[in-house]
Amino acid sequence: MVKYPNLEKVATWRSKGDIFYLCTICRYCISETYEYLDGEDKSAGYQNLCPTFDLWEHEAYSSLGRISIARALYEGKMELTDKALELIYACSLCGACREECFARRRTKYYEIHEAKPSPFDPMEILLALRRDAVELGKGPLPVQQGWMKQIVEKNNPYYEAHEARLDWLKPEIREKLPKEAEVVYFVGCTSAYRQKNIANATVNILEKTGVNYTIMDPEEWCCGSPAYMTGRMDVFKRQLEHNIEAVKKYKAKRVVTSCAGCYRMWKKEYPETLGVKLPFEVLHTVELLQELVKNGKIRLENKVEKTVTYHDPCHIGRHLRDGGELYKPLFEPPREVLQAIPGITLKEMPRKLWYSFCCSSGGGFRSAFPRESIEIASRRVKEALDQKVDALVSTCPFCYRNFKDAIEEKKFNIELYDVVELVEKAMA
Amino acid sequence: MIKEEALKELEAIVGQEHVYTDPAFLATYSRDISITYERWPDAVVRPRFTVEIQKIMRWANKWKVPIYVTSGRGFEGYGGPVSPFGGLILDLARMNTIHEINDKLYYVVVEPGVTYRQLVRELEKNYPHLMLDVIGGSPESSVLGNTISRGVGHTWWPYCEHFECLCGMEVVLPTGEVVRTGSGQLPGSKSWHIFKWGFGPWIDGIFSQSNFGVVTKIGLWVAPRPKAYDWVAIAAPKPENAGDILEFTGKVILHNIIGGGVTISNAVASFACNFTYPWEINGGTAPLPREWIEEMKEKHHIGEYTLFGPIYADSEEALQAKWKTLKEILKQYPELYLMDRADALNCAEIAHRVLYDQLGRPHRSLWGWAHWRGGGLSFYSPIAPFTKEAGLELQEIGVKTTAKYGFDYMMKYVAGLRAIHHVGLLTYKVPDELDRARRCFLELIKNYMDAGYYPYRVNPFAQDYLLSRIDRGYLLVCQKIKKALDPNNILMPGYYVPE
Repeated sequence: MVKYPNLEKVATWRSKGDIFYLCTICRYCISETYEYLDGEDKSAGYQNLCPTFDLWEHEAYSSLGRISIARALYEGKMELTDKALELIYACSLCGACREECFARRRTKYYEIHEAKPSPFDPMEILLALRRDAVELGKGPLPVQQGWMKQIVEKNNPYYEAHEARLDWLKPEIREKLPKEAEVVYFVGCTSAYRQKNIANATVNILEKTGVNYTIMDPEEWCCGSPAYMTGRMDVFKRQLEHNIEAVKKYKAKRVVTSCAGCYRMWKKEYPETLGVKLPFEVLHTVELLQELVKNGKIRLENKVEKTVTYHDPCHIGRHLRDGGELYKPLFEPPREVLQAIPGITLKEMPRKLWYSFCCSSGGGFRSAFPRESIEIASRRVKEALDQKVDALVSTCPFCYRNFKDAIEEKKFNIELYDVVELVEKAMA
Repeated sequence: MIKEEALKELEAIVGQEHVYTDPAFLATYSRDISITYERWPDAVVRPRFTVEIQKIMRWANKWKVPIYVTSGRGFEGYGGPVSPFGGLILDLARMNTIHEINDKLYYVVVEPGVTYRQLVRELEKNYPHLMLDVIGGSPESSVLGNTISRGVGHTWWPYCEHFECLCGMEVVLPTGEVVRTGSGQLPGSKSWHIFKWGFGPWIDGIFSQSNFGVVTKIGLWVAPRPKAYDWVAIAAPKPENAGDILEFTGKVILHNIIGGGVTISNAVASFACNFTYPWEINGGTAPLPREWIEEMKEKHHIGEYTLFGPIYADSEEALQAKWKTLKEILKQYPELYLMDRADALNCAEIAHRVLYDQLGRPHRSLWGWAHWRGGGLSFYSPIAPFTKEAGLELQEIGVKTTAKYGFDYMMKYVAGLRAIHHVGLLTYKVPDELDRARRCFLELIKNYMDAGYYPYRVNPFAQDYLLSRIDRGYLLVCQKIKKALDPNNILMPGYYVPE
């Protein structure tokens, strides 16, 4: 019988392999509940929380389907077929299922009736399944293996030259980047190679506010999030070790990133994987912006007359649940910054905060399922449009990119911004 | 195994993308949370239209492939979409059209894949004056599936007795023909979903809890939203009051004081909605010590049995009149008492009944039962009269039998108009306790049947066991109908009708 060592690690609660049976196929992982909505029909038409179920409308494309596969594999009742492989990668690992999972909620109370971390975590089961698929030589999917090779060879998944990583940066700024600074701005691959607007806006703000910052040129590598999410832990660890050493070299006290995926890696996975506290603070740009607005270093004086809605990226939202003192979801900072901009009116979408509907670019999903990914992003854009807003705003270049493609492809009449762009517009 | 050639033909009927044979898809149909044995189907097909089902039936006859029917996934205490014989699973989840909502004559016409959540959302959004009687199970359950399984809900008579409100069906016979029942048999009739009986023999009943056809559409009467509503929670403090609470319930229902959808739960069932099994205090053993149950009852201010019922009326005055009568009847049972409303709402089950079920909103909190011990739940549901004797006897059998197998006696009563459904909740940790649960389940069914309390509905796991007791004459009629309608026995062989 084929062994699944990573599943083995997460499979046991009270007896061997029993964790899978805690899934009672209740479908909480798929759709919202009346309990969540307080009985009010706030989200008619947006009931599903699981983006892939929303698209394919089959339970096999939801957490309960993937847990069924995990159980059957673990118990030797099926083989890891190509279709099974496809299904376990047909997920953006957004974590909405974990928020609603009833087994997870209830198992918090299995010991002395006090809340403790639940032994049941659908995301961890899926991650274990992906790691096993990799170790068996089957995962990730071919297209993901393609960019994985790029991460190893060129330090980014975009098939771009490492030397071109900071091409977006004005030469006069690049030339004077110090080799030691209080803050390292970790740009991230997507901002560096694709959503350069976000990187530029961030640097412009850092320049204007006089923050003592630098960018690791040429030491910045991919944070490893794509490898982590698709089960290539060897690649992830390589990236992690390199990046931490690089920051240490710059003697930075803070690492600031404008990417939600990078932030999760730096804030949560790096220290958890190493089992140590990092010797520097990790911030997302929205946290820095919040701080700079509060201490008056950013003065938001230009009116930006727009009604906007905010999309919570999964990686800085619900992925940061249960972090205690180490990390917490960034729900407040982007909203506080947006509301500090004169002229901005913020209207929320029905699916927000813990229950945000994923743009579906993460978890390796966009590269493996490009058409489906754009379709899901389109559904989120439609949700934004239904709120009758001028613009959709987020704080993640990966979300931005998927929304941008959806807006262009479907010709939606809506503007798209990262929070840093609006702040830059509003700055005196 | 289904032959490759046969599968190609099936794909031609519904489209390749709606036929599933890869184990990655079949895995989700291999088990449910009940005592059903794990069994993998050979294939799953998800049709969209009645005409496709007709073709699938003809296909099944041609290739002699047995078919198991399911309407998506709901609460699976009576068994889920797991075929006991493998074969082809006909999953009707995609047939989810609400064909009609008649807001003048108060009925809906739905397909099998329409869920309680879907229909309630539609009613709340566009027809707020209508109210659907909902079940205490899952909002994802099929309205049609629950109705033809003769499920019950939580508002008032007759709406809480779902099959009672069914009016007119469309059924695909196992040989592929379509039959419309009731007034639907009469061409051009304007009464299909408002006059049940049609003309001649009334045949709707044979398509409920049976394997005589695939029901693809039903008319269902829905309630007008009541003008006045209140709720009541009454506690019966001791196990000895098991008979009192049952007799009291019969009286208030027969006098139309409390809606027929009243529920009564015993203490352990109520605990299971609020928290999980206290493994640590009992070393993982069951039943729970009596002292602990008493301690928790006191802590949570609940009785050994707790009744929570809706009171509906056309006006506030009529509501108050009902309250007055209720209190008068309650005086006949000095040990029963009205619960403090705040205490009652602290009990998750009551809160969900009064905030959701009784207002026609489905919810999922009762999945808590499945998590009481660790993922397993099966219902055993004998029917009993509203008498003191029945209340005490049902309790005695339940307590003794469950204790013998190391489980707790957990139950809720759901009322009908003349009888009570004793919905027993057998909860267990999967997979460790599953075999023991199966043995316990069968003995529960046996002991209740021995005492004259037969289940109103039963998991396919135990159907043979039950059918072995059924009157031969009745079975003979059923078998003759089956043979006439399904000569190749392709539709759910053995389901409610023995082969």
